[in-house]
Amino acid sequence: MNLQIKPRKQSALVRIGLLCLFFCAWSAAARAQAKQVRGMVTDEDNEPLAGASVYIKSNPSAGTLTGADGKFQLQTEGENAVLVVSYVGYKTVELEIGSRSVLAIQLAEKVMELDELVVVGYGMQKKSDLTSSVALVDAGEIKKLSVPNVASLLQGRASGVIVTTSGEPGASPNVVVRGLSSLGGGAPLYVIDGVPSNSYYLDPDDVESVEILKDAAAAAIYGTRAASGVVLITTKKGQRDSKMKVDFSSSFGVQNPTHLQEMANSIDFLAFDKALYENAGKPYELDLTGAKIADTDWQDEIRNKNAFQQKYNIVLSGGGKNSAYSFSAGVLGQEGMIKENAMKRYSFRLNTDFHRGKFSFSPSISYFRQEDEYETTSFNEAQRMLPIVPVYDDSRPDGYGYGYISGSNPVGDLELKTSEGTTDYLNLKLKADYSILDDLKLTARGGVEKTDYFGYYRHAPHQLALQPEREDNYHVLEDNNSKRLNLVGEAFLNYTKELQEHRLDVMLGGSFEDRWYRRAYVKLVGEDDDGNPSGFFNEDGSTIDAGEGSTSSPSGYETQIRYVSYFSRVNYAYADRYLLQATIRRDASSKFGKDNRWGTFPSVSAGWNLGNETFMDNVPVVSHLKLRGGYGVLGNDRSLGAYAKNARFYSGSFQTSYPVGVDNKLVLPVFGKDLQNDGLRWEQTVDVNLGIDFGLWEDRLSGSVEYYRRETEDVLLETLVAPSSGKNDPYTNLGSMENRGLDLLLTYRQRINDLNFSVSGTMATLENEVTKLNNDEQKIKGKDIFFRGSVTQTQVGDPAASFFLLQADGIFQNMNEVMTHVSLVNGEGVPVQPDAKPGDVRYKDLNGDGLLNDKDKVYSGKYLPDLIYSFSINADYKEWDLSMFFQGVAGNKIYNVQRLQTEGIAFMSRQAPSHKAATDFWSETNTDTDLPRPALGVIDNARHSTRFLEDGGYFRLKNIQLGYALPERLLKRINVNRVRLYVSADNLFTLTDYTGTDPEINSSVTESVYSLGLGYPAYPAGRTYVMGIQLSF
Amino acid sequence: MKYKNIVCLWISVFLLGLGCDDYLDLNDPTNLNADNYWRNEADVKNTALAMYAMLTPGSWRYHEYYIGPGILRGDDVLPLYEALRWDYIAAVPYFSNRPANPCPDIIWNKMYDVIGQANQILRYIDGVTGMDEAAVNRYKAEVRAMRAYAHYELLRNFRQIVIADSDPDGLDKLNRPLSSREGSWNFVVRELSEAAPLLPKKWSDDQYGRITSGAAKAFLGTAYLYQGNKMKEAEQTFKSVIADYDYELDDEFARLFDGSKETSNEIIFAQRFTADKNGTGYKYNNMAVANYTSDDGGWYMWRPSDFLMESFREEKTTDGKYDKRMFGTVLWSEENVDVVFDGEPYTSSKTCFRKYTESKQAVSSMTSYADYITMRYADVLLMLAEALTEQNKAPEAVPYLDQVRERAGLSKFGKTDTESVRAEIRRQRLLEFALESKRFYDLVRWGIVKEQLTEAKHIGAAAFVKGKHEYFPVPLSETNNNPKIDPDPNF
Repeated sequence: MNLQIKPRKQSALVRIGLLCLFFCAWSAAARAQAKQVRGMVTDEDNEPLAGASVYIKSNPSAGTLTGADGKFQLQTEGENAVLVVSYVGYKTVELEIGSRSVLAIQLAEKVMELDELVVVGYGMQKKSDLTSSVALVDAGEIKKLSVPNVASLLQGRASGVIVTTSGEPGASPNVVVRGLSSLGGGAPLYVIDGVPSNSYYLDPDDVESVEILKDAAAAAIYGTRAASGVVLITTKKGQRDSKMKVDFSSSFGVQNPTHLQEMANSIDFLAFDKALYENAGKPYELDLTGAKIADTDWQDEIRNKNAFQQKYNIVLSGGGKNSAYSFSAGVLGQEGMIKENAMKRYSFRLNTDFHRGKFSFSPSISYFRQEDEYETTSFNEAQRMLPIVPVYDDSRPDGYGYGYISGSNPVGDLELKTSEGTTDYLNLKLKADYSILDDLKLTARGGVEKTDYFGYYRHAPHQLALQPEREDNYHVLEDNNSKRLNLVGEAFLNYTKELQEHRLDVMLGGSFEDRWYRRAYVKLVGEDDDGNPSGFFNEDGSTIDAGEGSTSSPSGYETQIRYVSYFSRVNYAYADRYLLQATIRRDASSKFGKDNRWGTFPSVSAGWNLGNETFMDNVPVVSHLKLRGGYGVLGNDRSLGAYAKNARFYSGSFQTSYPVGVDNKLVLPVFGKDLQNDGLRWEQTVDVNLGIDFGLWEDRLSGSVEYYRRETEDVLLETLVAPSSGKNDPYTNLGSMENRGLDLLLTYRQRINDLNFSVSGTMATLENEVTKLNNDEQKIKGKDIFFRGSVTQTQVGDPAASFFLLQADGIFQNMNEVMTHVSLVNGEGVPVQPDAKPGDVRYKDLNGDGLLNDKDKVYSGKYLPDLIYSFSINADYKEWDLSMFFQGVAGNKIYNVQRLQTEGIAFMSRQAPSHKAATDFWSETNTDTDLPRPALGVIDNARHSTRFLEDGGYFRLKNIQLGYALPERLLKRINVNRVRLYVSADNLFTLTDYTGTDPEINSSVTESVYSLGLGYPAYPAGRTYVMGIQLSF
Repeated sequence: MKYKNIVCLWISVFLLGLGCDDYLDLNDPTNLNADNYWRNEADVKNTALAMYAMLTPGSWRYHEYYIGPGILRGDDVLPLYEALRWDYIAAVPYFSNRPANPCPDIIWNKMYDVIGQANQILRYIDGVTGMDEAAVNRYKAEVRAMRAYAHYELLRNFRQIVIADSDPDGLDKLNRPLSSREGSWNFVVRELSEAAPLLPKKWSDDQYGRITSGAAKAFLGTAYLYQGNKMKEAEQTFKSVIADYDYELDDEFARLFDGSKETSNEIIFAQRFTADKNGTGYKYNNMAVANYTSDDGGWYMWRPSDFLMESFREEKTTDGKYDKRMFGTVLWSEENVDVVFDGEPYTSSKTCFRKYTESKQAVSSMTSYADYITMRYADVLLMLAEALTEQNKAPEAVPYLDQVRERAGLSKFGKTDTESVRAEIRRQRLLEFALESKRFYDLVRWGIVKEQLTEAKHIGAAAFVKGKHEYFPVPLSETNNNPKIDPDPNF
């Protein structure tokens, strides 16, 4: 398929190429003489500084880095060139090269790295020149972390960025930058080494630095896919003229759940169960005669205690005169917290650089493989089993216990079912630079990402439940194959000009992107036409052919999405004080109809380096001060499927076939329920950002304060329509939403003799408001929970997915309280809950009509927090280093669906209760409780109400780490540069009132933006202890 | 010069960008859409057949969502623990359903799916090339008849419904208000009476099962009868079904329900299932396993009510045996009575339904293939008898009643007074249509739900409130998303 598109694709590139030639022609006259400069960068103690950045001021993007010996080599043009040398934690030096060709440069340490170069889209910028909101994740910090995935690197490192993780091996964390930018949800765009790529397949040990573009002014250059922020990741590169450096790291750890719901034991369950029936006036019919009564802790039975994980990574890097390389390989093995659940990951990466004259090429290749052994049951399934059921029971056909209620033996599920998957990912990238002139550079980049997934599931005939599924009687085999191919190509020109106090940067470019996906799936059920077992003559057979003669059901589809974009950016600075940036980007997406395909997304921002003004010289306490503000528009189409605008007519599957004719010939009819919607257009986010950056007392105290307001208009979302329309829920440009808040970052650094420490805090407030829907009266309900209706509602004026609930008001202690719980209707006292008994939950009849219904549901809170905060301490003393990182949210609620389920009263039937539910329910002898009496079928006690709404705030020590680096004198003897040993712990403690699995619920579990904050039973978060070693030589 | 050029370039790139439409026009390689579908008659036919398929989801969904509301509330069926332990099922016979309850919600959704599909065909059919006018008219009639049938099913279950008579072609046309019951019945009547003459009396053998003019007429008569004040029209319509078509009662009652005679002349319309697999296709339900006793691998979700058993025993056949239909309807153990199921004597002490329990194989493999009948000739006869009786023409009704009695082995009824005939028609409907999704709706139109449920000791008898529980409230999914419809204040 990619063959077909190549010629057309080139046309975009050819155009740009032609433009470049054009460009060259008229500026060729300005060429100057090239010259080689060599040098060495050292610190104040004359120790070489490896990895210092060296570049020509007029052309920052054509710089280099010093090698391990502190040496560098650089091409300059013209004798007036100014060399800039910078290094993290040191003051940047600028010097005129003049006629010198060998330079010795000493850098002085500084407290704040303000002149650091920052990667921005399609180029680099000095941090002091930034006019937009860019958060940096400290490179030094990254080196210390041992995390399983890249998203975890972002956790709490930047204000306004929140990361939630599940403890499941291989789970991909959820990253949200500055709240819910789109009702359609959305993760940030990850750009790895300049090319939009999937960050999941990147080994975090390969990461050199991470930056997050938070506001539109910064992100606008990525236009359409930047509405939820952009994360720029730079991977480790080799340095030219350096000998090979080896970095090796390894770690081992164990993981256990932070919290599991404690369930009732058999004695408590039986007492509870009896009360459940007796309180409802129903005969107690649990027949236990002859049964084997066990006392099973089902969660314990499926739990993998001290789930082991190990990680190895090696990086080899170095370079010759004209080339550099960095090779890395890594292995990660992680067991799940459930048995028979594990993940293995292998990664491989080679980054190279080749230079010749004005050209440089940087090809890179990475390969990643993940092997998953998925869990075939869950803690939720285990919670639903009764404790009296034995794990193994010889009287059952397959020897596994079950009975009394529905539910499949989770141990049997683990042991008899196999579910596996492998992912192979290959990524090739090529970057080419050509310096057309001193001040004009062309860059072209291309990338290919190929992902192959193979999933596999099988089970033999088995009986693990009272009412087995039909397919449990047969051999079942599923093969699930998918392929993904993403192509990206881009080319851009950078032009830089300095004239006295004026500095101008212009960037201009274009890009295309092609994303293709195809899936094929086959399921075999080993039965013949009469429902008898058949096929699978080889009963251990695991391939499709082994099941010949079975009933098969194949399915598959293909999607393709394309983008074409043009973009440009102009930066202007005057006297290092007045800064201006403007960008414009035009994007087209194949998802939209011809007339709405193109979107134009401009942004403008400005800054004033107040600290550089002469009048500030009199205020020595202020080391730097900058005011900045920006405005920008971003587009988004991600919530749309590739062909969402089409009214599809699709052929049915085997379930929707229909027999016609006297001989019952099956036909596959064609269904069509969609609305054609050619009017779909880009969702737009209009963003305003105002900020102050400051440094006081020589930057010992530094920080920033930012205010942002982003209004997302024409939100692309599935609109729920009335079933009587006969239509599927269509995607529409539904409404508008606003997020606003303050981002605060404050850092204090101090050095006292050998003690070096910093304390840093981030804080972000978030206010979310739906400002427009189809009409002001529209109330979009969230998803139904247990057939009792929804608990969330999205409407104009409130935050998205606010909780709207009945107000629970304690428990009726006696009949008198029931009879006096009345509302005055037409002057007459009407009992609100006439059927209630002592021990039942009392609800407020807020509208006073004597009935409890939708009209008594009121706003009761929301899931999006008011405040997200984090706090970190980093200290080192001689060879020791310590870091602690805390994170918390406040002002949010979670609806504890798990509790609704484990209180054992939610349904018309017997259920497994939690320990608390079984031992602390209301009875005449236990009246001081918030749990109602159990009574089968009295579902009023399990109505959706504020009873299950809990404070979702938490404060947690996400990570603590203690490291020890071997002293240098020891290292010199063994010829090693650095050895660091560390111990680290994740989620060591959590302060929260939430009683569900974990307050960091992964909102993707709740599926829809209309249903945020539903605390379903989930894979628990892990408390992890890790020890590791990092070695360089 | 230099800067002027930069500006020129900058502008030209943005203009050039406008030429990429070919690159960005992508077609869905899997599905067709409104622009490239509707190519020929086959497209029309495949889309029309989807209406039937939508009424018959596979496996347990069929008996729980689609059949459950029809059978669990009558005095002929007693729901048991295996049904009642599921909240969403229990809410139906306990009359504790709220607007969020899924069973009524699914009926509402699925019927409007059928209607939506019908409306699409009516919207596009005139633009399809290569079809002759007769074919177009026949498809239109088929589609309109199915659309009316869906409205009729909705009217049986909901007090008020939305008349959906056109395909909404824009977002602003999605929401329609509720209509009066009378207006909705008028719509059903109009559609069926206009469609019936254009439909074939019989489809060719390879198209058997699609709606016929006889079926349209039978449902038309039913629509008159349900309204209570259109007995004359009902009478005329049913008489035409009898006179103008070849329908007749089947000699063997039991084989109507075990899949062995799906082409019986008694069957007027049915929802179809099959064991045929046709490569990937597969259409079964779980009625057999849901019916059958738990002593022998069934789920035993409900059983015949004691009231039904007693009613069967009340009157013996002319040769002194039990009603022939009893053996086709229930399985029970009784001394000196040979109850045979699948070639073997039935020995369980638990009584269960035989109707739609087609075989032991269907129980153990959890797959039933028998068509579920929604209209048969016996129904037409008894409805005609009822229409006559309610016009005080009971003597004229008796011959039709007797046809049904005689097939069961019973003697001629004998009496001709209105009260006796009415009572006998109602009793015969109980015996004839147990488990056929008729009884509760009959009780509703006769206004005797509470009385009959109490007499039959139905689990929902106490909770049933007259004037409220005859119909489900409009489901939450509708009232939440349709600003023109308010939630039912009674629920």
